[in-house]
Amino acid sequence: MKSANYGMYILLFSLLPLLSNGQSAAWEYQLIVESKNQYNHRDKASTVNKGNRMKIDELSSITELYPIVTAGNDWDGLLNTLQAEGNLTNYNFDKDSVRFTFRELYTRFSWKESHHWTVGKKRLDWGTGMLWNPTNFYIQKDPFRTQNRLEGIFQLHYTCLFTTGSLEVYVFPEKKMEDFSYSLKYNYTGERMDASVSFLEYTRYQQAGYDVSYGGDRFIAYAEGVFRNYSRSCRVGKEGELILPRNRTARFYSEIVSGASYAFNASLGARLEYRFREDCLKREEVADFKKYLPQNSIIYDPVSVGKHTLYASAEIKDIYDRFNLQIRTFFDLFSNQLIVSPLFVWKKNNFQIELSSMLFTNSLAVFNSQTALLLSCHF
Amino acid sequence: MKTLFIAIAILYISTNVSVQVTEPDYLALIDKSLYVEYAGIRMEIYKNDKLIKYYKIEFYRKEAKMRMEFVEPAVEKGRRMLNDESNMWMYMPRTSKVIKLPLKQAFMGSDASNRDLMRIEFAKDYDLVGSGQPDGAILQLELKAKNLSVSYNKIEILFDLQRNIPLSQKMFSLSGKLIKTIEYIYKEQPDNILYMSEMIIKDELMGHSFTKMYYENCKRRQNKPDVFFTLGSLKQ
Repeated sequence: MKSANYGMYILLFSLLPLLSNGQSAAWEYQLIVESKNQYNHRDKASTVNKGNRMKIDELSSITELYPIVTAGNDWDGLLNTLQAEGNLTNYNFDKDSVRFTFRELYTRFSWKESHHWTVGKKRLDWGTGMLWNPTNFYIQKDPFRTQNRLEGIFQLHYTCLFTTGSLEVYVFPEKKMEDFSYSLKYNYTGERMDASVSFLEYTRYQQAGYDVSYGGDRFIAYAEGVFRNYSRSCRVGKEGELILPRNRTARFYSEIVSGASYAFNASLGARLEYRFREDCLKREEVADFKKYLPQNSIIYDPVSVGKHTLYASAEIKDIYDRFNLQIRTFFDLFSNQLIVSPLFVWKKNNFQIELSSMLFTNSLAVFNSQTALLLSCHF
Repeated sequence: MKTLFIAIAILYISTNVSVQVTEPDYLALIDKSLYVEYAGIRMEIYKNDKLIKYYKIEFYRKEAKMRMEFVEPAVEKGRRMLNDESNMWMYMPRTSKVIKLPLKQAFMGSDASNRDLMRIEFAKDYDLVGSGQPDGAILQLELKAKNLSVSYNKIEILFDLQRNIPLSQKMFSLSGKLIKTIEYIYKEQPDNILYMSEMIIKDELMGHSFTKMYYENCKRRQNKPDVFFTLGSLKQ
């Protein structure tokens, strides 16, 4: 669905009530600029990117501008909110490589804080996993930078809040009525824990999901999982042939994420996260995948191609949260893909610098290393 | 004989009356004096008397449940925190994601822990184990934690008997070491009620570090419904 087409309608739809009572409408503006410059040290022996068939440059840059506008108006308990988050992206400082999208563009009506109706493009906030969220069927985070602003999905969303939880109904429209997706989600909050169950009707497929998290004095433990009768992963046949998701045997696949974080003190913390994907490559399939590269490179994932992935990180930070140093590690138990990634973050007022490096240590890797400098500023 | 009987009866009743005179519930008085359901807070974090960072926060409370909404600086705008007694969450606007927080984690680079700021109920967490009167108008109270889940094992509070407000408090570890001190400063607002206007939290282990919190537009009551203090509302 072309969200931009709907964007203007939503904008107008929202502005009319806001402007009709303009004196009490509250407008807020924010501008965020992020620039990431990266050095890509290619692995010339890479089997995935033989002869640099992916056409990866040694230096790359991406500059993003996010203008954010929020407006709110209250009529005797009925609150109307408009949120517009634009994104102007430029690649490699090339003037022909500029594009504009709305990351979010929605309007919400809230009745007495208990009932919320949302129409428009909005990010989905499903799941408790820090890096991976199998319940979020629409978009996955970049595990190397989880705080990236993700793209929203066009939706009609109703939430009913209770003191111990909430019930959510989603409709995700598409061009044809038969392609619409629907979802129902129930969230519960209890003593030190919260949990949710969800069911999704995704065109002709179904997905049932759950997530749960528990909070202690110094630690957080969480788990999230889905069972679904579709797959987005390709498989490798015995002869090395690629089996596309739509041709895979119709059956239920599970994907599970579990993790925990621990704060030793104000300066030191650690996190572990594990992901299991039933529809990804088994150990013996990894060998076939490697054997028939680069024809099967569509399966390639820089973090992991196998069923089991482990993530571990340790963080040392200044007690005033002005800077922090993280060491992050990703490991695929079947393909032995190993990535070690140090990250240094320095903050001063509304300005932030991130220096990160990713060191790849496997023949599957496209790079020997990637080093990035990211500058961001909030106004 | 009748007079003697009445005299004995009066003596008996008066004796019992004097026995029934109990001390005020100081912990409830402290909780009451610090209770506000709305406040605009400016939090300033200092190191060696130099301002390191600040936050401007809108604070909402209903009984034990608290919610904070960050207004400034721009990099934190839209961030929200919620404590519903046993859980604590933070909403991150850039990812529209809610993450659960450990209660004893330091609060956003300040000298306070999440629990210090998001759970302020002395009567629930502590027992009054002793009191002394260093000054005629000031009482020193000694509090002991009811269980180990509480941030500090022992707390000493200087309590103003005339105004029924805490003036300062010292927090001690299990080993008896002084960890933090808090100083309370009050201001009478137009509704003639005395509200805390400033709180200074000093990390005694660090020595050179302190956090100042300025309270504005304090209200004893606000009209947010109970669902405003739920995880679902935090995401809206």
